[in-house]
Amino acid sequence: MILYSIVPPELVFQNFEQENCQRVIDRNGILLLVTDEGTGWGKILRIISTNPADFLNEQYQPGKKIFLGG
Amino acid sequence: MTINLPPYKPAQKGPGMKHAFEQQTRKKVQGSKKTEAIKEFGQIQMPQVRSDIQCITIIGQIEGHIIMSPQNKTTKYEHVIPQLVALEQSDEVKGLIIILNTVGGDVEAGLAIAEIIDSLNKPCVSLVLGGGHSIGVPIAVAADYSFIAETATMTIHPIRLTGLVVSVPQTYEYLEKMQDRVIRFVTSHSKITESNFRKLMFQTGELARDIGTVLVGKDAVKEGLVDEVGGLNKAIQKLYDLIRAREQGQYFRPQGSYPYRQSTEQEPPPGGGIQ
Repeated sequence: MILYSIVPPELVFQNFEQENCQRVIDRNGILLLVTDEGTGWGKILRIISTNPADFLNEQYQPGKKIFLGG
Repeated sequence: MTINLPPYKPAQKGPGMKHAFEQQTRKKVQGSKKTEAIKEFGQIQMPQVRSDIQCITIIGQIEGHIIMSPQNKTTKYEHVIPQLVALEQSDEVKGLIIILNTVGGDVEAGLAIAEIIDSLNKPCVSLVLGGGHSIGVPIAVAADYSFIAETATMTIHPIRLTGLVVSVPQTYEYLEKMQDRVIRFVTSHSKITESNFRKLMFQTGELARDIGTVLVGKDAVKEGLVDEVGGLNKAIQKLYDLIRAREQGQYFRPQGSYPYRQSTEQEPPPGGGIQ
């Protein structure tokens, strides 16, 4: 991989070993990036969609807690 | 669930679209389905609104074959590419707006996204807000028409290898090839000439600890990299203009050939670039 970025690679790969506790889940066809807290619940970090209206959906606002299932 | 879109009305100005959006929302909320769902399942039905233009945001680092550490904000190609394929297939979607605020990232992933945007058959406008650096440059120029906010910047600098490098001359040739891929894509999709782009790329004295140039808003337009200085209203207006032109059969995307190829003054140097 060649990184073509203005951010120095040592910053990009800082804490590379750290475990990634983020996950992408699907809710009604909308992809959500969530943190998995291991309790069955997570917090929405980001909405991944091309539909601008999905970002107005109150159910899926960043910061909201979301049930991920057992 | 099928969604009935109201007939598309061309020649609407910016606020008109918002109005149509609100109207549609109101109509959906009034539906009896909502009350039924509340009664039966205690579930709230959110208004389903689909806009006829869709938006892709390219933010943070562009993530390629290696997952970056969680502190990086990333745009992953496995998210963006299927989205673009879906948009190309969908009949409801008339056009696409790409909003960039990126610091660069993986060359291959960035070029993949740029190529797929270029080969889209639907009108597509890009808008650089904040920054569209490094590999963000080819993505910005891949759209039919590009805008840059007045305060936004684009950094053009050489590609470099990091980490453990096999110190043989071939390594540099490989690096040169990678760089030529980016240069050829940018110069063939924008009005900037190859010699000028190379000059900006290898400029010294511009960046504090690097080789290259930072282009701020107007400068990017002056160099021919971006088409126009503007914000969201201009970008959406342009997109609707392109959509209208397409509906009237006046617009087509050049397939397989780069739109600005004839305007580039010289061919890549013999032996240079990818064959």
